[in-house]
Amino acid sequence: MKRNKEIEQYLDAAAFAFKNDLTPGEYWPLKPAQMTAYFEDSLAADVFKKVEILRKQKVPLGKAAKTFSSPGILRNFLENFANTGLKVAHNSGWFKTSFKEREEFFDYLFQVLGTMVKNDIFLSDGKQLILGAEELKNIPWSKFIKLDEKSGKVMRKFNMALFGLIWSLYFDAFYYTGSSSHGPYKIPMKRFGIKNGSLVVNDYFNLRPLEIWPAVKNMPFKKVRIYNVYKNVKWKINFFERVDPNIDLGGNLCFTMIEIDGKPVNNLAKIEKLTKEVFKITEKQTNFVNKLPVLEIVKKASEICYYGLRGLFEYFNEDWAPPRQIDGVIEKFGDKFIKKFDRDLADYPPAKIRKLFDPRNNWY
Amino acid sequence: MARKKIILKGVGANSGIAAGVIRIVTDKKDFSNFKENEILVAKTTDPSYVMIMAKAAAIITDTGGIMSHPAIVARELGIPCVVATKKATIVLRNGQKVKIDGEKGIIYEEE
Repeated sequence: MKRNKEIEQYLDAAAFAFKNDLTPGEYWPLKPAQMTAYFEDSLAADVFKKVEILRKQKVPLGKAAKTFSSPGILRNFLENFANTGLKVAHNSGWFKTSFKEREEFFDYLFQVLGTMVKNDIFLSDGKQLILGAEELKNIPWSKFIKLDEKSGKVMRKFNMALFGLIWSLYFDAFYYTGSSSHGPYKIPMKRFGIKNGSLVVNDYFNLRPLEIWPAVKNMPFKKVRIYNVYKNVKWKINFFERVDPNIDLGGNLCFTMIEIDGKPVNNLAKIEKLTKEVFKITEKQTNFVNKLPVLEIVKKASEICYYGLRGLFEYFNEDWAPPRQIDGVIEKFGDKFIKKFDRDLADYPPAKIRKLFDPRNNWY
Repeated sequence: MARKKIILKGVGANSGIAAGVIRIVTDKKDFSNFKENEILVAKTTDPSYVMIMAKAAAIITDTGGIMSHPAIVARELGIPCVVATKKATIVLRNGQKVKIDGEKGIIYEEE
């Protein structure tokens, strides 16, 4: 059955990403499950109900896809919420779903995802192709900068400053709410005078989420897209949008083009100035989060996750803010889940990951 | 040529060789002391550390894995990185000269 085959592919992709991706280590400010355990059932049920309406009303897939800001947001909903969230809601008895309903839910979301990427939706080929031929054609190729030692350092620093800001705004666990990496795109490398080159795009599509962090109002821009041309790099990405760790990216970056709020910017002095500003905002934001009581961090996490899916709520003219009962759940359980999930998922064998992620059972 | 003495081993998180002076940063108050091209040694990191990672010649951490943030940042910056040393902040000293092999995950004594 096609549907079952796709669920198997999804489980393969998740197990592969866990095996190769997660290594024992620190998560800032908390591990994903320490936060999502408090609201995964609410979010999963809320999205399930809305997707049911989209499905029954036969809303075109492309239109449904527009309610998600990026494929990463949808993919990570499938990863973090759709599976365990629906199981928790079902086993708690407050929102029952049959295996068939869950299969249909996943099947629909796979189809929606299929309209958002131009390759395998599970990224099993190591690629994530979002831009179409027309968009690639319209890239302002003349604005690319050939990098030397100095300009390379400036560009790489700027990229990492934005990466740090995303980390501070959306935590380790939910970085996809504001950023995405995609590629490698096949483009004629003649124009760059290199062989074995590839184009990879780093999209920082929400750097000023005032709805959840009003204090970042001083952030001078909202969106940055960085086009990077690497030579001799076999860039690969997995289901969780993590780049293959066996590649030295910085050492092989040879051309870059930066677009800030849609406009190319290639003045190095300006980029250095903006880098410093971003570092300052990141430091302030990080210090703010570090001072929050741990359960306030969980509340913030629920805001981030609902905010990431706001397009779906707005489609139904509803407020995207997390339901107030989540605060009650946090108060009721206190730090129970913070303690319970203070462990490394990296130790999970693939068979256990598959079982955990499989919507066709009630195990978590 | 005499073999260099191994001071510490961890997990190589980004390849490359770098030599330089150690700067241990365990508190944000230490950020202002960090100089361009020093070797950053930290227990763990949070987003505010990116500003000093971007100045570093290499990164060494006590914790983390190959997908941890210091490792990701090092790969994007193109600098060597060794993670999961467990005790770099204890064994290494500020001002100590070392050589780091990011592929093998080894920190050598440097004269």
